Amino acid sequence: MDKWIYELIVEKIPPFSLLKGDYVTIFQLLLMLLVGISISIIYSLPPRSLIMGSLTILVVAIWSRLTLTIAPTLRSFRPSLSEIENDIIERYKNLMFNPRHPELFVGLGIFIFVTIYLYYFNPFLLGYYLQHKPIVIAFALILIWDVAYRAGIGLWVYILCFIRSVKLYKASKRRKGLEHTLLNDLKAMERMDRRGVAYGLTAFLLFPVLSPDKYLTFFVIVYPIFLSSLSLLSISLIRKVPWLPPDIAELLEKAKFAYVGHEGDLFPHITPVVQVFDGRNVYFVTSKASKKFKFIKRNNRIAVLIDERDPKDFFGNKAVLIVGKAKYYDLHNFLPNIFKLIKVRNLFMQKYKQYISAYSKRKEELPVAWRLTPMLKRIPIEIQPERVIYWRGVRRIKIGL
Amino acid sequence: MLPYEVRVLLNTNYFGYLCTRGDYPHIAPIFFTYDQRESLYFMSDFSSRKIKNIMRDPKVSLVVDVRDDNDPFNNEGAMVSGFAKIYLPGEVELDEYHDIYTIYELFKSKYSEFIEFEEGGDVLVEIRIEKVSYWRGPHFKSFRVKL
Repeated sequence: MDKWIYELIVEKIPPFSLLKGDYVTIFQLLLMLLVGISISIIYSLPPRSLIMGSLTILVVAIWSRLTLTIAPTLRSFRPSLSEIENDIIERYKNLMFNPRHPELFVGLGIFIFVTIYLYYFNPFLLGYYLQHKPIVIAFALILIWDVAYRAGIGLWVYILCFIRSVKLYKASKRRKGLEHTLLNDLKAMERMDRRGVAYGLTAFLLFPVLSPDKYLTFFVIVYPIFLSSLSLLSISLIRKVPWLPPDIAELLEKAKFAYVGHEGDLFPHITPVVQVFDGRNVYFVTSKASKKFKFIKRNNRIAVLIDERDPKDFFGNKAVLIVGKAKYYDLHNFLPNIFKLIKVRNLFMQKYKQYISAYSKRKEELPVAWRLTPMLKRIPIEIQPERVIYWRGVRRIKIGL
Repeated sequence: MLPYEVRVLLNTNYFGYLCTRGDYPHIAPIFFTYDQRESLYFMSDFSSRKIKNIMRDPKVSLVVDVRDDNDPFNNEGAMVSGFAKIYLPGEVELDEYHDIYTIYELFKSKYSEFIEFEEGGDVLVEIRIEKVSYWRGPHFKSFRVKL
């Protein structure tokens, strides 16, 4: 895969290549500040130039930090298990690192627009900060280019992310069988879009710098609003893409039981539970007095196995194992999630009609902790997946000869 | 000796759900056999996650249960917990040989359709039962096994 110019600089040219991650950004920030401070002292610029220049440098540093995470994220994607979705992701990756460097042109466009504006239409800022000194302006142009280039990258990257989300969301509705995009990749996309929100909001820091000029102020308000809302929209779409293939989603909807495993205390602990799937996550309920709940409160790492057992045909069996973190809902986080919990409760009522009626008929036989008092004694638990494995059919036993 | 209800469950079920410890807990459906005393056996590929986990921590639990989709009062099951011991094929002590041969016979009769003979083959794992919890409908019983 191709790389961005900035990434190449950071990887190949010392001293950047000797530093890692955040240190590159800090080093770059200090270097630029040093140059800026020296210039402002040599040409005796007013303090406002120093302050606003430093603020601009901070924006550049934050943006380059965010930019540096994009390429490793894209390289971490594994092939999607759906051909159409794989195509979408591949095309998205190729556009992102296109050898013709379209992101450069977006930046160039912004740069040209800003310089022409500052020279021909409203040179006020040049005087306000730079006192029309040619050498200072030359240095400022480098900084303006840096800002414009990164603002361009921001637009290019997060518009592509948004288009990717729209396309993946549409494609995910036409999945069949085991087609899906992997959970970790969807999560990585979501993280990327969250950085897009940060990328956009960072531009607000330029507001005090450009506020003396009302037209440029307009752009510095529109840019972050546009980019952040686009990224937020992209997040909401990518969250709607199911991380499970339809085959497994169907199994989760149909299967009435799940096994919940925990490291336990003396020995690991595993028990059957009833479960529902709301299209995104699996929920089960447990009694507040149960051992399982006590364990989960201590360590929220759990495994949930859901399977379909066909006693006549073992080769038709299917199973899915989801490992992740358990999140329980009780009185302290019940209200903010009320709509989700009502939906989950309704799913339980539909799926376990017979169970509920059997329990209400023979209530006196139940232990106190089992009587149906939702939220007080029965706690809904959501599993937030980290890894998913699924099997189809059974594996034969191999006896050595 | 295990209680009667638990022995019935262990002798009449084809699937068990094995929970092992790792960075996250791990569950796998397994075929198993019961030696009618205090041990269960299962077979697995040496490179599987459960074997890796067992080598780090031999404490395991296994659930065997009967589920009734319509009446929860008929749900019945047992969780047996104990220590797992791995027998590598080809590295079995002579005095264990007879026992292992007997266990293979148990697998052959219980899972005849699902047996393959292959050089190398699976590792055999014994679970020595230490603790049992049994439930029927909403009622629980829990006991320790004295060896």
